[in-house]
Formats: sequence, structure tokens, C-alpha cells
Amino acid sequence: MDVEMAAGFAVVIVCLLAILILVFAGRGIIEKTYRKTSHTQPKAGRGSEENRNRGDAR
Amino acid sequence: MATPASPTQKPAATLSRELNLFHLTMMGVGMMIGAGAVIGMGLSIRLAGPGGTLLAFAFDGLVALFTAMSYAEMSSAVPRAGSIYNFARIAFGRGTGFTAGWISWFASSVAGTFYAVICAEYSIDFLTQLGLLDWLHLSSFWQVRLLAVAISLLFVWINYRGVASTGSTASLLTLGQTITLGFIGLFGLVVFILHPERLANFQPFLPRGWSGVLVCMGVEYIAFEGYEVIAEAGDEAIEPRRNLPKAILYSVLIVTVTYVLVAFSLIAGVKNVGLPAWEWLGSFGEKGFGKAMEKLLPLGSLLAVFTVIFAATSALNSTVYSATRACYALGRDRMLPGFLGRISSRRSTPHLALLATAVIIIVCLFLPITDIASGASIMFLFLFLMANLAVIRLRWSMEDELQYGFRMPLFPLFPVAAIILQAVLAVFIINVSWVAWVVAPAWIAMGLAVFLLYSRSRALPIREEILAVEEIPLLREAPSAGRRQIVMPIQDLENTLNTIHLARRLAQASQGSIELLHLVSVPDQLPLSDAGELSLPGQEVMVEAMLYLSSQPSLGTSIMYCRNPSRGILWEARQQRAGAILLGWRSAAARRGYVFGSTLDPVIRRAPCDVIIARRPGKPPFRNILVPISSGPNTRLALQLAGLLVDPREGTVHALHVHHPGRRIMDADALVAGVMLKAELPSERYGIRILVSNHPKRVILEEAQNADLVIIGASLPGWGRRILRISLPEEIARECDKPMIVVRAGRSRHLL
Repeated sequence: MDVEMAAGFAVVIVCLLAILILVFAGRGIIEKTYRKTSHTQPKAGRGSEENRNRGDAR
Repeated sequence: MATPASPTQKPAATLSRELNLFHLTMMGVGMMIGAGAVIGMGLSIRLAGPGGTLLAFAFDGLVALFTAMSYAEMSSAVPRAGSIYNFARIAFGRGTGFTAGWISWFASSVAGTFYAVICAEYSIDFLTQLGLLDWLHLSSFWQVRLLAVAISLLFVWINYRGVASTGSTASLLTLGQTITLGFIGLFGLVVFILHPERLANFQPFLPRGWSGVLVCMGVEYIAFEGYEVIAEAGDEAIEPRRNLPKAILYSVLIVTVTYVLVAFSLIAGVKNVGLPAWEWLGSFGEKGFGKAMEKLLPLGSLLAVFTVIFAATSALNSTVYSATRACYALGRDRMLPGFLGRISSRRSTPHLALLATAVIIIVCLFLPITDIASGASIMFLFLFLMANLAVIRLRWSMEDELQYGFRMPLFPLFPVAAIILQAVLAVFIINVSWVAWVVAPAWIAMGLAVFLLYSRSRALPIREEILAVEEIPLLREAPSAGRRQIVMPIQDLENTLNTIHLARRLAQASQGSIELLHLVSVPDQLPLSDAGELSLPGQEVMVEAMLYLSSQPSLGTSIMYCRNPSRGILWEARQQRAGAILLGWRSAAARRGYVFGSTLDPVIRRAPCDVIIARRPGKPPFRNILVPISSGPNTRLALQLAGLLVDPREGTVHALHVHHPGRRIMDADALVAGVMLKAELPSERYGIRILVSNHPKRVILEEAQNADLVIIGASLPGWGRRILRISLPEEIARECDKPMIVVRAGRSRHLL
């Protein structure tokens, strides 16, 4: 493996690591914010109260 | 005024919240790993060489992540169907918002057409090879087009069945495609470990140099668009403020790793071809992926066909979803005819927007699709630029108002970097057919025409907007050219009457006009258009104020509905190009985190003009005015204002500087002399006192006891004050019980 190839692979790995770090830093920020504000978010899913109400209204 | 719904009234159908984090991530990944990137692999290797392709995908992933962060932040703050349309409308106004939504609708629809054609082409090729189409006497063009129509209609039907069906289909298809690509990637790694001599396939690493890498980045960058489909799901996601940004970030990570792994495996898998691996792969262009798969795996060509079909169908599913939501949002807000914003009560999907999207997809099938898809690529780049600008604008203008589920770190580094890097990539993306350059501007021009002729007059207000319901810009005399306006928001009667004399004196001194602004703060639960009764008490105050200002030569009035009074005040000040905003302040205890209050603080921080906040200032002129001074424009404005308000015969302005021992002495004489010279104020009315103390607040509060009025410059505006926690003037303002005025000099416009 010559120097150019080694450096090239290193740059690719660094980029992927940077993406990984940014994504998980973002995830940390999202979770931290969520813990503070979770009461304000809609939580409806299949069979949830919100959707059941919609069904009743129909 | 809204009438209450009767018990028998049929409730309006709404979109159904059924998409979880997994569905959202798979929809984003599905749209990103479209067949284009898989097919384009051979072309990329030809353009950049073996190492250059890996570098191009890794760099593209990083640049895409920067814009993805903008989408993640905005979708967490405004989780609503419409994505970039909503963001641009809130940040820049209706025209820009409509253009963004219009472009997003078309670009996503055209991308859907492109994927339907690719899926049909590969399916027909495969069936022809198996000899299953020998009985069909149709040209290849019609075979492909008819199958593409059938595939498009299938996915329109899947989208019609409901969002759960769309999400599950997207998850299945994307999972199938990602597992296949992941398998290819891992198989390539195993081959490489077993045969380390294949490293020679990456030799030379950059045969086309760095310019080849940049060209490849430009060509492949558009393969990373797709996360906007996640932002479109704001009305249908479970816990949108948490799941939307997460899904956007995860999808970019998954896609980048997959692309790099697959590219690596394809190159490492080539053997015994008599040419350098990259040249051999590149020579096949679009078929390079299939050829490489033949070398890498048994039945590789078959797997390649299935991979492309999986990729194309999952991308088609996501693009149909994305385009439909963009169209639905425009219809919902009456930017397009209202029927497009209707929701099927049976399926909870925007069925008519879906139908309109289907029409665009099917019509485009019979047009030169590659050229039109290139036009869509240009439009996607434009949308990314708009998203990065919008995220900056929203943070600066509405940060206090929006509830963010995710705020990107190191702001504004990433959006600024994305704008610059995408501008560089655009140089390489623009190397497409001339048809693309006709299609993109033509669609945008058509959108502008629709907006001007239809949408502008019919659009419904959205909750973040400010609605001017009545404006009487001129009651008496037309403002002369260059005349500065004082915007005076009407508050309660006591506060308004307390500041009205000050307003009159300021208008007289600056030969300016006064704009009385009645801002009706409408609660979130009430539509802006139904807020009429809320304005009545303020209108009485306004009439009272107009009586007091009856001698004022130039006076205007406005009534506006808004959700947030501070943004309403700033909006009006910008519209009127005001020289100053004059506000009354009751000195009530401010909410935690605010100095003067949730309305006044943002106005002080962001106003483009001078801001004057007065607490019981009384009627000028004053005999004894105290002005605590330090360096800076706010002090100069305070001194100027004191000169206007002081009694010209007997009054005195006491400029007080409290010197902190050990710090540099300020040249107070020069400061005061400079202000007097500039404002042509009489020098005999000014006195300067310099006191030395470690406790400036205490000294100023003691000196204030002898004054009729205290005028003080606000502390560092914006970020500086927040970070450094310097708020001495504000502390004095809150603790001093004397009549007081706090001033902040404008950034771009001044009254005096």
C-alpha cells in the first residue's frame, strides 16, 4: 500500500467517523431535549387514544 | 368569530399519526438509495477512479449531513406536512414559501417518474432475457412506459391505502434493498480479507486527481437527497420533535456507510479482467454495477437486477409520499385550490393531492425523462440552499418562539459550510442537458405566475404569521421624504398615556411621524382570522391615544393580529423602516430568563432601529436628568435623548461615570462633547461627574434618588449579554424606583 492510498483510506475513515460522531452527538441533543419537553409531544400510534377518538368520531 | 361545533357536526378528517422512528428512517433511506446511485456506481468509478469514488461518497455524505442538520432542526421545530414550504414561508414569507413548496412537489414527482422508468426498464430486460415477453409485440419504449404506468399506479394505490401501509411498504422494500446492499458490502470485505492482493485494484488511488473526485461528488451528490421525505411526515409521525430529526440523521449515516461499502466491494471483487479494475468497471458505465456483481458473487447479475428493482421501487414509494405531502400542504393553506388539501375520511390520506401527483408522474413518463430528472436535480439543489438559509433566519428571528426538539451544535457553522460546499458542487452539477436548464426555470416561472395570480390573494394565514387587518398609514399629513417614523405599540391605557408625551416630544425633535400600533396577541388555539373581539379593548386605548396626539402633524395607525407581540413589533418596524420603537414598561417582575419581559427582550435584541423603553417618564421637560455613561452607541443615544428632554432654561443633564479602580479611565469629557457637537445641544445644560467605586450599581442607585428622570443605555445586545451575563443597566433599571428610560441604539436606522 503506497502513501497516497493509505492517506486516501484514512481520509475516508475519518469522514465516516466524523459523520458517526455528529449523528450520535445530534442523537444526544435530541434525547436531552426530549427529556425536558416530552409532555408536549403527540404520542398517537396504532390503537392510541388519539386514533381511537378519531374512529369514534367517524 | 368561530362558531362552536355542534354535537352532530362531522369532525374534519386529519392525517393519522402512525409512523415510528423505524418507518421514518426507512422512508428516508429508501428515497436516498434510489436506483440512480446504484446504476451510477460504474460512472462514478470512471470519473474518479477507485479511491476517488470512495472519497467522493464519504465527502458527499458529510456535506449532505450538514444540510440534513438544517432539515432536522427545522422539522423538529415545525413538524408539519409541507417541510421546506413551511420552513421557507415562516422564514421568508408567502412568496418564497410557495415557490419552495411548488418546486418540492414537482421535483419529487419527477424523481418518482425517473424511478418508475428505471424499475420498468430493468424488469423488462430481465423478463426478456427469460423469454417471457416474446409474445408481446410492442416496441421497447411502450413496454417500458406501460409497465412504468402500472408500477406508478400500484404505489399511488399503496399511498392511498393509508400512511401505515406506505410506511410498512417503505420499510419492507428499503429493508430488502439495504440488506442486499449490506450483504454485497460485507461479502466484498470478506473477499478482500481472503485475498488481500485485491488491494492492487485500488492502484492508482486517484487516477483522475482531485478534480475527478469533485466531478464525481457533483454527479453523485443528488443521490443523497431524500431526507426531506422524513420532514414531510411531520403530521403523521409519532413524537415528531424527537423522531423526525433522529430519522434524518440516521438515514444519512446508513446511506453513506452503505455507499462506501458497496463501492469498495465492487472494486475489490474484480479479478482477471486484463485491465486495471477501475478502468474495466468504468468502461461499462451504467452497467458497471451488474458486471461487477457477476465477478463478485455467483448469480451476481440476477442479484444486481433485484437490487436495482428494490432500490427503484422503495424510492418511488417515498417520492410519491413526499410529493403528495408537498401538494397537500399547499392546498391546506389555500396556496393551491383547497380540494388538494382535503383528507380522505376513510383512509386519512390526502387523496386528491395524491391524484394530482399521480397525474404529474404519469404525464412525465412520456417526456424525455432523463433531461427532466436533471432539471429536478437542479431544483433539489435550490431547495437545499433555501433550507440552509431558512434555518439561519429562523434561529435569528424566531428562536424564542419555536419549540426545538433538536438544535444543531456549533450554529451557524454547518449551514454556512453547506451553502459554500454546495455552491462548489453546483459548478459540477450544472453540467447537464440544456433541457434541464429550460425545465427548472420554466417550472419556477409557472409557480411564480400561479402565486401572483392565484395564491397571494387566497392564502390562509399560518400560526407563525402576522396578519395586518387594518392599516391607516396617514391620518393627516404625508410624511416628508426622509422623515423618521416612531412605532409606538399600544399597551394598556396607563402605560400608553405615560409614554405619549415622550412620543410627542421625540416626534417633534426628529420631525418624525408616529405610528400607533395595536397588536392583538392571538392564542394558539384561535385562528388569526377569528380574533376580531380580542382587538376591542386595545382599540379603545388607541382612540384615547389619538386624542392626546391630536396636535401631532403626522400620525398613522395599524391593527395587527399575531401570535407573538415581539415579532409583530419588529415586523412593523421593518415594514415602516422606522427610526425608533417606543415602548412602555411597567417594571413588573419579568419571567425567569428575561430582563424586561418576554416581549421587550427580543425587541431590544433584534430591532434594526433605536429602541426606547420608558417607565413612567411623565411629561417633559425635566429639570434633573441622570445619565449613567460608559462607552458605546447606547450611551451616546441616552445623552442625545437627555438633551431633548431636559428643560432648556433650567434643566441639567448629569452624565455620571462610575470608574472601577484598576481599569482604564474613560474619556467622559470627549464623549459628552462629541454628542453635544453632533446633536447641536447647549453645553451649559450638561454636567459630568466621575466617581470611583467597586460597586457601580449602588452608586448609580444613590445618585438616581436626586434625579427626575434616569436615562440609561442597555447593555450588550444579543449573544454578548447572554454569554457574558453583563446586565448592570438592566439591574439598575429594575431596582431603581425613579422614572426611567432605557435605550438601545439601532443597528441600521436611527431616529435622531
